[in-house]
Amino acid sequence: MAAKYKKRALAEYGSQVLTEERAEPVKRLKLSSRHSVNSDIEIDPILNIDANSTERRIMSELMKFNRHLKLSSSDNLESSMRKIEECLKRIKDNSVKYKLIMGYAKILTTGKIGDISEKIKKICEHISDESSNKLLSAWLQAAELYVQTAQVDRNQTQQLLEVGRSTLLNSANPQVHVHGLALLALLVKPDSVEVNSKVFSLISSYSMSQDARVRCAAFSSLRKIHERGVKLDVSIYPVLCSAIRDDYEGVRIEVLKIMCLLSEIHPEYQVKLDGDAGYNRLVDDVFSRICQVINDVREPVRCLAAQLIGRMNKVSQTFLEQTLDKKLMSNMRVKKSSHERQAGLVASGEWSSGKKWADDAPKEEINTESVSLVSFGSCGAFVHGLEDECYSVRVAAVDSLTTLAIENHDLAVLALDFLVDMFNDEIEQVRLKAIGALTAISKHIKLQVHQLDIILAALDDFSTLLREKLHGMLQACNLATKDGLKSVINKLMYNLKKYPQDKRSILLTFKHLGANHPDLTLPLVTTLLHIHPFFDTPEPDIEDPGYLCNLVLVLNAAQHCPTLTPLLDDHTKRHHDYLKDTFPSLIPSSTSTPTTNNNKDDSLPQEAAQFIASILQRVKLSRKMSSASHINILTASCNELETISNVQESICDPANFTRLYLEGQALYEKIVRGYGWSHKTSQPGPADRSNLLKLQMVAKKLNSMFSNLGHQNQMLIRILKVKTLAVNLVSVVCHSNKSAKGECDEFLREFENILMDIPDSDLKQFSFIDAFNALALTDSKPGQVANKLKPLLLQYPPENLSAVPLQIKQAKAIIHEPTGGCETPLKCLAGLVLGIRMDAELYNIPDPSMLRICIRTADQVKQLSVPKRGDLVSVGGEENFRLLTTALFSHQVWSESLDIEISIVLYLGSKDNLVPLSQTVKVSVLPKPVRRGI
Amino acid sequence: MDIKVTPLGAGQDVGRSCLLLSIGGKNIMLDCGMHMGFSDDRKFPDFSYIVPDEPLTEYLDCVIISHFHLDHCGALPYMTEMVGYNGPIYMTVPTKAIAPILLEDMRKVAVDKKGEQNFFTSDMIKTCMKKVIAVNLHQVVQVDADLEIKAYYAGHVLGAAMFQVKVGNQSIVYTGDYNMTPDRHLGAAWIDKCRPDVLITESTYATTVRDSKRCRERDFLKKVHDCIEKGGKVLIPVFALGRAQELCILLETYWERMNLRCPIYFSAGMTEKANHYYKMFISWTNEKIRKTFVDRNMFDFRHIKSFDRSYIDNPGPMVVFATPGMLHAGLSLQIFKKWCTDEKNMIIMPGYCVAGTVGHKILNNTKRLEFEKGVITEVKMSVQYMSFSAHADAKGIMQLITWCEPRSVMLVHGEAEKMKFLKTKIKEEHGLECYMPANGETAVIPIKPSIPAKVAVPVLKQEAQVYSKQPPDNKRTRLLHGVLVMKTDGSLTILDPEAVNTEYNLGLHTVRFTSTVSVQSRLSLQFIIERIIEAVKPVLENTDYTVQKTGDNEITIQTVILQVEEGEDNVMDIRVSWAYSQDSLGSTIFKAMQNL
Repeated sequence: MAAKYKKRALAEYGSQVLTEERAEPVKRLKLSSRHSVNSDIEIDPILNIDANSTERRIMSELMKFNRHLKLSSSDNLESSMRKIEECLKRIKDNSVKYKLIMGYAKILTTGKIGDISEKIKKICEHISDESSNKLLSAWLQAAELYVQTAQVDRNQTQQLLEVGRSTLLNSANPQVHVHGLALLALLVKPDSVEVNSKVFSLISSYSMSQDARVRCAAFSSLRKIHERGVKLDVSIYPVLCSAIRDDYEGVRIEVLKIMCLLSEIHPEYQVKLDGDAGYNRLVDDVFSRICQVINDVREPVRCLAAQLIGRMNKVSQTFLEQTLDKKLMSNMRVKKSSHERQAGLVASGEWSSGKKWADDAPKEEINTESVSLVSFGSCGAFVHGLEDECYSVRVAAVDSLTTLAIENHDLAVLALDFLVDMFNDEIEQVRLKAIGALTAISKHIKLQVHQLDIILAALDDFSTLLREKLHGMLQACNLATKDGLKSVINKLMYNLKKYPQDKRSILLTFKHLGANHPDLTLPLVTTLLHIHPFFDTPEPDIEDPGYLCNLVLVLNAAQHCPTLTPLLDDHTKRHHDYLKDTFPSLIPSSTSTPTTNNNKDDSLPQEAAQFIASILQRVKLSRKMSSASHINILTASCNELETISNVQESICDPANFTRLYLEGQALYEKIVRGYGWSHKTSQPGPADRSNLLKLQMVAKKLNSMFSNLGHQNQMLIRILKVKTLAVNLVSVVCHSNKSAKGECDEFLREFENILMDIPDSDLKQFSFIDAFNALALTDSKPGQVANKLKPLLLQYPPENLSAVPLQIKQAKAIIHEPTGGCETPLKCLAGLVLGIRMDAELYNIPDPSMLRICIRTADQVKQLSVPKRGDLVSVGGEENFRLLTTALFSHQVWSESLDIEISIVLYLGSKDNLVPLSQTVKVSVLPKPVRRGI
Repeated sequence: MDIKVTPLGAGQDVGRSCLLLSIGGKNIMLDCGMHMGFSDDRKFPDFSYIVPDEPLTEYLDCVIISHFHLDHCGALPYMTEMVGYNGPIYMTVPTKAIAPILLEDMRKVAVDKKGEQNFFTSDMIKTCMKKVIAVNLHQVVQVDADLEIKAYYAGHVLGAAMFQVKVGNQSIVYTGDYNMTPDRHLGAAWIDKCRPDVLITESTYATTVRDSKRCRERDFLKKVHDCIEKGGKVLIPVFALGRAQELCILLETYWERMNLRCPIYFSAGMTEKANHYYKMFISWTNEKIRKTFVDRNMFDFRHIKSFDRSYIDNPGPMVVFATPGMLHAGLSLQIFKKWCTDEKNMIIMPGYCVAGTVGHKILNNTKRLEFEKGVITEVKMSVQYMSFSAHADAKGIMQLITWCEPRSVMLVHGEAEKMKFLKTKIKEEHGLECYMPANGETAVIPIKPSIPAKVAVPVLKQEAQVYSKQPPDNKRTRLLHGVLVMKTDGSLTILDPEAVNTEYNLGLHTVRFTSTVSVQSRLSLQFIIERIIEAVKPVLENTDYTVQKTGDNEITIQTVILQVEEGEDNVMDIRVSWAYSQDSLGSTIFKAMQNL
């Protein structure tokens, strides 16, 4: 009975589904078959139109043709051109004609057309006959496109010049003028003086045109002329001076650019000042004019002006210093800016009375005559630029100020206060820029206490990047007084307490502070280390970060200050010995002999290189020994290299490379000489299998992690990879029943790739490749390939490394956060997402898009996530990054907390194809069940 | 017709901004503010100046309000409802939203607390606001056929605008209050090169050039930070709108940046409502807020919570914004009384204080105050003054003048002494005429009368064609050939002569000069003509005119016709006739004939 009901129910459901389906067809999805770009690539496309085709068809064909223009042969292009000409005669619609002409021009620029001069003549004829402004400008553009890409001989130049000139004079249309001017500018060549002067005078007269577009085109044509290697004449300067006040921003932008160019060509030309009889250098005059534009109404103009100021490096000192000039007044009385007030305190050595109200009260009365409210010349340009409304202008101003101040000591000193002010900007990028700028000019300035106060306040900032940048700035700066150093130390200690994660960067800062200011540190030593002249003070805890910082500072100072060492207590010296080993990079190895220390540093890489070479030599010799001892020597060498890479940071990367390669060699030997290799029937032992896996990993690492290898090494590791694939293929064929088709394909593909990259002449060098190539296999059955490979693999083991360049770079990642080892688990709701803050440094990553954050849970599931592009901040060099991001993790319920392993990996195409870049960090996580009924 | 401006308030004075403008036959009132310092009749502008005891509707074409501060809009309900005005009133959208809140608040204080009589009621505010037409930035509003207005961004407070008023080809710009340096929540004022006849600008800081705002901000933040670090409490008395939001944003972002945990409170009230509007009018704020509001609206304060009286005695550091700003009454005074005895605490006065208030006293370093009879309280807390005023300084005013290039400038909303200085500077450095009328005094700005005429497109095109025959040159004269047609409604048009002919069906008349030269000669007619042609040739050498022989005894050169007639006694009469348009050619040829 029940079964019957069920059947009925099923039937009912079934019928229901049916009726629904019947109701649906109205909404049937209509899939229009779209031409995919790839499908209609023809080998030799031709324009498929004739005189009778409709306008619509012409347009679509034209677009299609334009996409694949490069594939077309010259015959087809010729016939296409003829077709276009035919259509042009028939078609009435100007827009279609316009498109046709542009298509015509594009064909001309391919460079595959034979009789060019004929075509040019034709274009010229069209230009002189055409009456429609739109088509006229199209023909001009066609000529322009052509001149841009192809060489034009003297005759054609003359022809085009005449045509262009007459067009300009015969038409009143601004669009025609714009294209005409652009064409003329392209005809200029450095060697033809006559043409140049003609074009030049014609174009410059159009800078007076009534239409803003034409003026703009005229100035940009002048700039193009300059770019083509013809020096601009200084005679246009007065024109530029009046045009810089143009109503149209496009014109002003062009004029600014030309002015800047002009000042680079003729910096010393004397410009007569209007009014009184005086002369200015051209570069100064231009500078002050550009400075005035920083007050322009429009943002793009201001931004450009701020950028250009930075490029002008030949400006006189007075003009430069004026850029930071600003006189304050309040109710007609002189007022000092807060910086000046503070500086006054330092200068007088007195302290404020404590009553701040009216402290900044204005003092003396100003003479009405002497004040000028409209800034003349370069006065206050940077002051305005730095206070601009728009972020882009402020950034440009900071950049320019930095570039100018790096070269110029006095300007740097003046700029300091203004840059410090920028620390308080509302946008973080600007703040970062300002700190970077201060770091750049730090060699010029000595920081006073009041300036430090402001700078150090930024150490409270929540942004890690900003704090670290500021640490970098402190590392580079010069402090003027002992009190300054004291306040820096205090603030850094406070910083350490507030943000313990900054420890690394702060320790580094202390190192540099000590090394840069040994004389200032000396008087502070006793207070810093609590040394008492009579009593022994208790020995501080070396694990205390504060004490550690002080030690780093003092020990680094002691290196340059011989009188400091005797002051230290015994236990301090003991601590020094301990720290030397724990932080070799932070602590100098001996406090008294800094000079020898330096020498040693320089010579070390040299020695290390010799060491690596000697190991390679040894390996080479061991080739002739028995395979067991060869393997032994390889393994021993690996160990040695690993030790040295840990000790000597400077050669870590090449040593690692060598080690990996030798390891690969050892594994290869182990496999090929192993028992399982020669005996086909026996199953490979677990050792063999793990060796193979290891070898694959090594090959993968070698191929993906290293850069700057040199061609020879590059080939070696690629061949190692091919061999690894071959070994894998052989082992699959011999020791398992499964199909080896995939492995075989992979091997052959890789082999083909490598064969393509080796020129035939070099083939002899790579004996394995050569030998396999010589077999000239026609069949790609895995069994046969494996059979042929087997002896070859035995015969040709991986080549020895001949030399390892020291500049090899290894991709690396160091995860600073999470630190791991934390016992309290991070809790989250199961199935929802947990964000784990990550802070890592990445080195030598040429392609950041391959980076992934890999989270492996206890059940061996890997979760990969791509770090956001914005979270990768490039630091010091293009291939080094700082990753500040949140790693996202999600999992179902666990009954208790378990560790997950976080690491940074390179992603090579699939989830199993990963290369670890960093140590894994363990974080304890507890996904809790969702509580119901809340 | 000249432009006339009469300040009813704010002429050489601050407060009660109200200007009467008469331009091109239109009368416009710019702002309608009240004076906060008076509580008698002087608090409102004297509208009887316009017309005594009569509604103003017929005498005013429109009223424009620049922003919501009470000294710019406070008298509006009084004028519209009690004096009587039903015409259009224009303000920007945020101003229309926020102004009624402020008006209502002021009314409450004036009527309920001070008990003033003869004041407008809540209903009056409502009906008044119904007459307001909201405008957007850069939107050209056509008030009537001739009069148009356009708003520009002015900074200062949310929704503050500068207005351009245009009648025909006369125009003025009224700035209201404006700020040329951007701050934390507003951008800087901006105007294009509109070249008005008069720029009416405020001049509050006519004699001041200010330090960068970053210094002030940093000072402020550092003081607050130091104080709470030591465990002190910070009191900031503010007015509920305008600068209060600026300081909130400043502290909020600082708290965010520095990762501070200490609470910030804002004494609620009308601020809640106003903050709501601030959140809505994002497009009126500065670059940073506009760009980040998608992620997070800056006015959604995370750290700032509303204040409750019971928090006054809470232990630990805190920052409190409290109204009113001058410490004369209310919550801020109450908090001050509690906190002033602790030297760890601090009070920051962000604005000006009127004499007689507690704020004024403590700013002048009074250390002992008597709040209640006989009880003297010692002020131990530190007292700081910071100016966060959002007016343009002297440099800013000059900058605005450079930007919009007016033909003359008028200064209002400032003190006479300071204006004088700025006036001389404007004359010196911009070379512009500058006016500074006092209240009730009319400034007459003479305008050169100009008569606009439309030019037909073909005429222009033809001229352009001719002009572009040679490369452009500013010095070359440009000649337009056409007929000036005056229609019955007084509008003027320049048309092509032939087009006029066909349109009005008139015959084409040409004016020709004809003159005869008699030559004594025995030569034949034919020969004479040959001679004439030869004589004319040098004249035509540098032109592209050619000589045509059109008859037996006739030669034509363009419009010049030469006819030779045989007279008696071997006298040949050469009749030279030329059209008016080619007078120079004709007269040279005629001269050549005379020399024949």
